[in-house]
Amino acid sequence: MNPATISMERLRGRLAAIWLSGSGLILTVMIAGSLNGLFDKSTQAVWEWLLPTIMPTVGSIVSTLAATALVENASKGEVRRSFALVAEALSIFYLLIILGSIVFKQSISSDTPQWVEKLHMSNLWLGPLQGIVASALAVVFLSKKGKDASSADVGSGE
Amino acid sequence: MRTLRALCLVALGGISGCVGHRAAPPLPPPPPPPPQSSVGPEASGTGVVSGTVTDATGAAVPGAQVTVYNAGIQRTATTNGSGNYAVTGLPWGTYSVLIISSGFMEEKITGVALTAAASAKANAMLRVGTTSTVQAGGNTVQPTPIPGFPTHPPLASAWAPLPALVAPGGHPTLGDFDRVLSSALDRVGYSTKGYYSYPDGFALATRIEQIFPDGRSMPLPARFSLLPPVPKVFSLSYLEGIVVPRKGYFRVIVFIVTDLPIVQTQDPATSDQAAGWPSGGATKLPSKISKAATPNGISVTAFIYEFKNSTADDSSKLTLLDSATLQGAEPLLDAKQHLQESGLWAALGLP
Repeated sequence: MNPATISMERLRGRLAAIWLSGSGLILTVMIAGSLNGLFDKSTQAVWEWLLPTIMPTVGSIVSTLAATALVENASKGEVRRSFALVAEALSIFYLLIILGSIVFKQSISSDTPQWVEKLHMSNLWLGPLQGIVASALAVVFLSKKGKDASSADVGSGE
Repeated sequence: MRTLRALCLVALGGISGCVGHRAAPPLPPPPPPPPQSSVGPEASGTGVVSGTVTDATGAAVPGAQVTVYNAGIQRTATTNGSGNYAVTGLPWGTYSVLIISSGFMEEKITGVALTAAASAKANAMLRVGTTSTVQAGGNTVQPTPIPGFPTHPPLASAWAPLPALVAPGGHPTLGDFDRVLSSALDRVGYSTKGYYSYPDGFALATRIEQIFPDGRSMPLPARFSLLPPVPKVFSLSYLEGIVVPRKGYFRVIVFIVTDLPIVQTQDPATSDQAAGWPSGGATKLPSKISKAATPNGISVTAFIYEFKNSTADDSSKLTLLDSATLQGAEPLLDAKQHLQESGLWAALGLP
């Protein structure tokens, strides 16, 4: 194996681990807070902010993993290690911002409605950042090569 | 961890300071409310105080609450459809009459003498939002220049008479009591106060303040904020606050100086009501009340209105803590504990 590259399969696994553990932690904190009445009347508004920030990406990752779950060597491509690092760093950075926005609620604003306002304002910079992260992940999870490999393998499996 | 904090700052906003919590001590049961009436020592016969309550146009005011009282007696009647009332069975003596009606200013008639004639008239003319003139035994009584505190105050979390609190001098005035109270309040940081008239005395309300669960006043600036303070980042309280709403405790203290027994209503005070007392009252005691000689048996009673924030969302939605709402779920401080922990007990020189 070329030391400057990493297998697509391995990178997918690492990114999936980052996203599933990160979003799992975020969702756990959010569910606990919601059940304890932390957000009270703003609960719906907080979830309306959160879900579009993580669910599309998590959904794509899970669906790709599901499509290749029963197939051996579904993605045979190689990815440059530098790109893998960028994709992983972007993912971690993005998820930490989302998590920090929730965990540091008390420091951001003691007043929940004001905090929710700031959450919605954060879409101004989270939106573009989410676009960059999604572009990087799309190469890994939704690339034509990966899809072709998956389709070919699924087809041969039948 | 440092990365998390930095990221959050990048994402949304700043970090603020911290205050901790301590457990509250257990609570003895509150004293029973004072009796509503008793017979004065000067009684040697009984009679009737009656009258008519009208508005500025001369129309009868039905449904007005009329309280006839002196140092030992307090009787209440309601005006009928013609605005008439009558309070019977009153021992001979000199009475004050307080008339309260929704939409009108509260009116007080003093010096209503009930002697061997066995009946006395006290008519009142109420005016909406302005002063009024009251006739009592032929004397014109000037209206009280400051708002009146509810004769039957809303239900408090705790209350306690302070018989040991006396004003200096052989014949203290109400102003002497005010000086004792206000100087003590100033010493422990209650610089914002609201004064109200009260039958035979006055009431003094403090600004709503945030307290620890054990009754201690929080340090500034959290003390007079309606939002709970933010604990130190990554402290146990902070971590708990990530998933559990932080509780905030708030308090308003009302001192009522009067010689009358005070009967509370059964309706708990609302936080909006209590928080509005300092701003709704006068900034000082008017000289008319201040110079008034104190009747025999005058005393100071402290009423404590303690609130807890019930939701994280709306800091103005505070719930009064009393034995009915708590139902033993957490200890409730008594009035003495509140006064001690606020520093007022010592500032008032109480033993």
